[in-house]
Amino acid sequence: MRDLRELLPDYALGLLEDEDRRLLEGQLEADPELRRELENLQNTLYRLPESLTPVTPPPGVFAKVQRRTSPRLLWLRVAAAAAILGVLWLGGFAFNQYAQNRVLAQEQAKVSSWLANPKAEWKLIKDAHGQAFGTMLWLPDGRCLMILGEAAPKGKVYQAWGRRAGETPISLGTFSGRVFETHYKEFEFVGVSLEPPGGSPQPTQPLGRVPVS
Amino acid sequence: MLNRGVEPDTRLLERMAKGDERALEDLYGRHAPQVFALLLRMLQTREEAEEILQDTFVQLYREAGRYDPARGGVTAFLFTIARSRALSRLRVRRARPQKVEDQDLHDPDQELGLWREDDPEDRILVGRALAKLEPADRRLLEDAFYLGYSHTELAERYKMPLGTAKTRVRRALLKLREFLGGLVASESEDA
Repeated sequence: MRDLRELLPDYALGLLEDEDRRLLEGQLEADPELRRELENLQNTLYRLPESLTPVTPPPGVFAKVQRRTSPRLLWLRVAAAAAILGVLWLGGFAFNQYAQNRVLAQEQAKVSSWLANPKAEWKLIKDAHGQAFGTMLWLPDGRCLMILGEAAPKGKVYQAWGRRAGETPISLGTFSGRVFETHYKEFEFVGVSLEPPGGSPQPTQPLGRVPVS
Repeated sequence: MLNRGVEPDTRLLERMAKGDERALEDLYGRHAPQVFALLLRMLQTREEAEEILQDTFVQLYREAGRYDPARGGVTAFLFTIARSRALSRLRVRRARPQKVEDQDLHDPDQELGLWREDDPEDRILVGRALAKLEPADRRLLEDAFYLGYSHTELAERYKMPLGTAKTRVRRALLKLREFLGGLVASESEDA
């Protein structure tokens, strides 16, 4: 009878032909001693690399291993980052909405109180083509309120001006909302222009004016 | 490998089987340089060796539960994974390194392995055991192991009868076991 132990070295090296391999594998299942002999030879064989001088791998290799063994951790990190961004975005959005609503409520409250004042007078503010784009209210005490149809476009501000006849306009302040309170007492006209943020020394894009004297 | 004072490889592998990534890091730190050396020897390109090194440790992590200490040391388990993957790569690329012409298979004075007296114990012992083999036998064994050559390929490569190639490879492995003596058994217990 053939001694199958002779096949073990070739089997350990993966060099056995199919027929012999099947024959040996069948016997290995039934023979613990043969299996131990094979394991012993395999352990001998896999000592060969111990004769090689170790070479330290580049530092980034283990990080790549970790990325592949911890995809769940990676996803958790991505999800956490996305959640934080989402919260920040929603928070920013909510805060922005809240701020806008608060400004709107303040504007409405101011307009309501001015309209409720029986001493208040008003006039439409018109552009060069006679098109009304806002309303000016004023009180005898010198205060006036500009109410414009729309907030200033993005990247621009409104700038209010007071002017006496024959003199250069004087800035009364800038605003980006729809309502702006100022004073008119020493001026003949109060007007509004569209300017870059921070305003301009003189109107660069006049929108319209109303006589207040 | 003796690991006195440190957690044995088998314990690390048990922890890794339970998903402990710190154990993976420890095993990588302990064995990656030797596995990388094996892969460089087999593939002879750093890029591919790095790639297969990654694959090897990823597989080790995923299949840690399959490890049976009764069948051998962790090092052998790791080398088995690495070698198997590298051989697959060699078969795919079908670009095995050509025979180095300035190495004579029958020159008994030619030292193929590199080991120094200050090397760790295991490397010295394995190096010495290899040095005691017939140089031609050793070359055949190493080509079969590192490059995955079949008996037929070895016979063609070294221009010898097929039967001679088979006999020499078997003889080399059996002799190596004899020269390493009881080391194989003790390695699996200490790993």
